[in-house]
Amino acid sequence: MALLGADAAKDRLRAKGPIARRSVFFPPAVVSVPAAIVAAALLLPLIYLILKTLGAGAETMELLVRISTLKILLRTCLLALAVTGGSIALAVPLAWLTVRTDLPLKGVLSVLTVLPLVIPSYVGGYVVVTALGPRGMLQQMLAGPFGIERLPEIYGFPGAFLTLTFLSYPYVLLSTRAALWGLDPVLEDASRSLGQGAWTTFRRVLFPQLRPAIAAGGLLVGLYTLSDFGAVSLLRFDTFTRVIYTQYQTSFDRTQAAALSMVLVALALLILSIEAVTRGSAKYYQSTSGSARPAIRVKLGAWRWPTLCCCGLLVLASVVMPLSVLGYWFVRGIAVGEPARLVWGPMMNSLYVSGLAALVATAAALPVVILSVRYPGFLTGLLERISYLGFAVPGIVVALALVFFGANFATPVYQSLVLLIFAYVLLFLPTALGVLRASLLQVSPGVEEVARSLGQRPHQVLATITLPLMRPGLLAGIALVFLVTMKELPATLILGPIGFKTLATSIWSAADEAFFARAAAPALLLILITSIPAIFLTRRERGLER
Amino acid sequence: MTPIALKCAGLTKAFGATKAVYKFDLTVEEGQVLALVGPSGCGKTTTLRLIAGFERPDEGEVWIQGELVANNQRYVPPEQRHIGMVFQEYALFPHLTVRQNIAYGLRKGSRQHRKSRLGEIMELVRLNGMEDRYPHQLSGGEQQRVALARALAPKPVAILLDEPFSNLDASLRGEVREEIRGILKANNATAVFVTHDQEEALLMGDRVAVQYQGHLEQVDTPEGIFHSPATAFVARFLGMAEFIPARIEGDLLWTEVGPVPHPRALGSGEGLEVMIRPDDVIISPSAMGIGRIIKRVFQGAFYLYQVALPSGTTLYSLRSHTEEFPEGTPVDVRLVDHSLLCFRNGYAILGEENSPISKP
Repeated sequence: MALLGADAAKDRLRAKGPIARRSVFFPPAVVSVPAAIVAAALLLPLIYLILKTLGAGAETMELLVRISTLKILLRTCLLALAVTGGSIALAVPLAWLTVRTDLPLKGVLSVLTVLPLVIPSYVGGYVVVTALGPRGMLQQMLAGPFGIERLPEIYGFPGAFLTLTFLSYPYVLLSTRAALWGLDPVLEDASRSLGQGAWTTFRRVLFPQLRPAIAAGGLLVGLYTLSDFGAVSLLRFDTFTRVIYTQYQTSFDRTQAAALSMVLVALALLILSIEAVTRGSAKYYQSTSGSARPAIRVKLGAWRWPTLCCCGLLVLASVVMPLSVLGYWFVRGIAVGEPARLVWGPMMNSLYVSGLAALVATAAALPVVILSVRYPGFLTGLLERISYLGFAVPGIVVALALVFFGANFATPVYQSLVLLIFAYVLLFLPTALGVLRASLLQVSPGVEEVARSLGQRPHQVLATITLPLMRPGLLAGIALVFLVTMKELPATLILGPIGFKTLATSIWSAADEAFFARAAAPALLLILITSIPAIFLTRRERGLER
Repeated sequence: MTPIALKCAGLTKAFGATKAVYKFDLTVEEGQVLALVGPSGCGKTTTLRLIAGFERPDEGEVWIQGELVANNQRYVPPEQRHIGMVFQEYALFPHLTVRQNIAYGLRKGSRQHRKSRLGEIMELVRLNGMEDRYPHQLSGGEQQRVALARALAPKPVAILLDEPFSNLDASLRGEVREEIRGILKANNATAVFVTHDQEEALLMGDRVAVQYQGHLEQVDTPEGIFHSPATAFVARFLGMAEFIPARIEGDLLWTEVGPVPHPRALGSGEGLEVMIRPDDVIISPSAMGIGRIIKRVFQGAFYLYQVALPSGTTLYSLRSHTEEFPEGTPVDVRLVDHSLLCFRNGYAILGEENSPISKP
C-alpha cells in the first residue's frame, strides 16, 4: 500500500534512533573476578589510612583545628583557584584561536602549546628558581646594564602560581580543543541566522556548549595543583602536600601527617563535586562524525600578527624558557665534569618502573571498564567510582597510606618495588580508565553479540573481537600512564626502596639541595623520553579530528 | 507436517515499568521466512534478542528445535543456541577482512570442510573477489550481504534479522530485499526479520506476524493478514482502514452511507463497526450528496479524496486520476458490492462468535 497514510506512518517510524542496549546478565567471571580484586586492592590502604586517623589521639585532632592548619587550607585553596582560573584564561582563547581562526602557524602552535605537559612541576619549579630567583639568571642579566640588584620576590605564592599555571594550562586546552572540533558549526550558523552577532553567538551558543569541557579541564588543573608537591616545595609555598611531607620526614608520630592527608582528600572530593554540579546532567556537545561541514575560519585581519606574537610569548615562557635554562645548566654541568653515569642508572630505573606501571594499570583498568560500560548497574557504578579514587587522592597521600599499610600488614613487599608499582596503579588507574572507556564506547555491543551468536564464549569474544578493536585505546592508555609515571615524584620519593633512584628523584634531590647543574641532565633526559609518548598522543588527538 | 524451528510461549520481558514484550506466542516452521512487524517501540527487537539469548525472559519459554533454551530456571547462552543474527547496523568486525568475518563462526570441522563451506557461501552471496577487503571498503548493500553470509555460514537453526533494510537508500532497498529473500530461500533458511515497514513485511514474509504493545496481535500469510485482519489495530496498521458504526436492521447491516452485505452471522448489534478501505468507497458529484470533499491528494495514477459525512466521520476514497473533482464538491457516497469485514469492540467477527481470534 503506497498510500498517503502508510508513507506518513513509515516516516514517523523511521525517525527512531538506535535503541540503547544494555546486557542485563551477570557479567562473565573473566571480567568480574579481576575487577573485584582491583577494587578491593584499591580500597584497602585508604580504609586503613582513615582508620589510623580516626584512631589517633586527641592531640592529633587538636592539630587539625589549629590556626596554622587553617592557614594551610586557605593557601592551598587560593593556589588551586588561582591556577585553575589562570589556566582557563590562557587556554580557552588559545583553543579558539588554534581551531577556529586563520592564525598563522596553527599546526606548530597546536603541538608547542601542549608540550608543557611533559615538563614535571619540580623541573618547572627548579627553572623558575634558577631563572627568576634572587641572584638568578634574569637578575644577573639585568645587573650588568641596569644595575638591578633585587627582583620581586619569586618564592611563595607568585612563583608557585606562575609555574603551575604555565605547566597545567594544556589540560584545559586539550579538552576545550576537542570539544571545539566536535561541535557542529551549524548551531552557530543557526544563531547567526536568528540575528545574533558574533559575540552573542559565542556567549550564548558556543560557550555554553564548551562549558563542560572547560570544567573538565579545570577540574584536572585543580586536582593537579592540590596534589602538586614538587613546585610548591622548591618554591617554598606551604600547601598541604609540602607540610605533610615535612611532618612525615621530621615528626616521630606519623599520624599527624595522616590526619592532614585526610583534610587534603576531603578538599579534592569537594572539587570533584563542584565540577559535577557545574557539568549538570546534560551532555552538551556531541561529536559528529565526518558529515559535519568544517567551521568557517574567522578572519583575524589586522590582528593576525599581534595575536601570533602573544601566542609566541606564551610558548616562549612555557616551553622555550625552561628548555634553555636546562640547556644552560647542562652545559655548565659538563664544563665542571658532572659524570654521565649518574644519569644512566636512574634512567633505566625510571623506564622499568614506568613501563611496568603502565602495563599493570592498563590491565587493571580493562575489567573495570568492561564492567562499567557493558553491565551498568549499582555495583558496577560503585566499582567505577572506587577506581576513580586515585583521581582525588594526591600522590603523597597514597604513598603515606601505603607506607602505613606496608609497614604493618605487608612487610614482605614493604620497601620493595611491588609497593611502588601498586602506588602508581592506584594513582593512575583513572587515567587509564578514561582512555579505555572512550575506546570501548566506540566498539558497538552488536559486534560482540554477533560473535556470541556465532558460537564464541565470552572470553573468546574478548580475545578475538573486543581487545583487537580496543587496540588504539589500549596503546594510548599505556602511553599516557607511562608518561605520568615517569614524572611522578612524591610517591617515588616515599615508597622507593632505599638507594633506588629514578630520574624524578635525582632531579628533585639535586634541585632541592641547589645542585642545579647536576639536575639538568636528568631533567632534559626525562623531558626527552616523555616527549615520545606525548607526541604519539598528540598525533592521535589530531587523528581523531579528521 | 513441517517441523517447528522456533517457538515462543508466553514470553514476557519488562524494562523497569515498561513491558517490552508481553505474553508473546509465536511458532516458526523450518524453512519459513517470518516478518515480525509493528510500530516503533512495540517490542520487536526485544523479542529477537530474547530468542537469540541476549536477554533473559521474565516469564515464558523459548524453544529451539524442540529444545527448551530459556525459561525461569533455564538459560542457554547465545553461543550455544545456533541462531544467526543480522543487525540493523550490520555489526561487521571492522578489524577483520570479508573472508575473516565470514569464517569467524566456522570453528568446527576439518580445515578442508571449512574452506569449502566458505567458498560455497561466498558464491551464494556473490562476494567473490572481495574476500580481502575490509568492511569500510564495501558499499551498504555489500556490507549487508557479508553480514548475512557470516550469519549463514555455520548453518544456524534460524536467522534473525533486525531491521535489515532500514540503513539502505530507498533506491537500493527494493533490489537488496529481493536479493536477500532469494538467498534465504535458496538456503532453505528459517528466518525471522523485524521491520516497522508494512509494505516490506507483506512483500518479504511467507508469514507476517503483527506485534503491538509487546503482544502478538495476529500471524497469517500476507494475503490473509491483509484481507482478514483480526483486530482493528492490524487493519489500521497494514492499510489505511477506517471504521464506521453500523446497526442491524432486519436482514441488512446499515451504515451512514447505506447498507452493507454481510454473509456472516453477526450475533447482536452491539458495538458493530464496518471496516472500509479507500478502494471500497465510490464517490460521484451530486448537489444532493451527503458527503463533501474536504481534501484531495494527487498520487499520480490516483486521486485520494477525503470525504466528510454529516455525522463528522471522514472516509478516504481512492479514485482514478481521470475522476478529478475540486475540494468542496458535494458527493454521493456508496460502498462497493462485495462483503466488508465487521468488527465488534476492535475485534473482527469472522463468522462464528466462538472463533479463537475474535475473542477479546
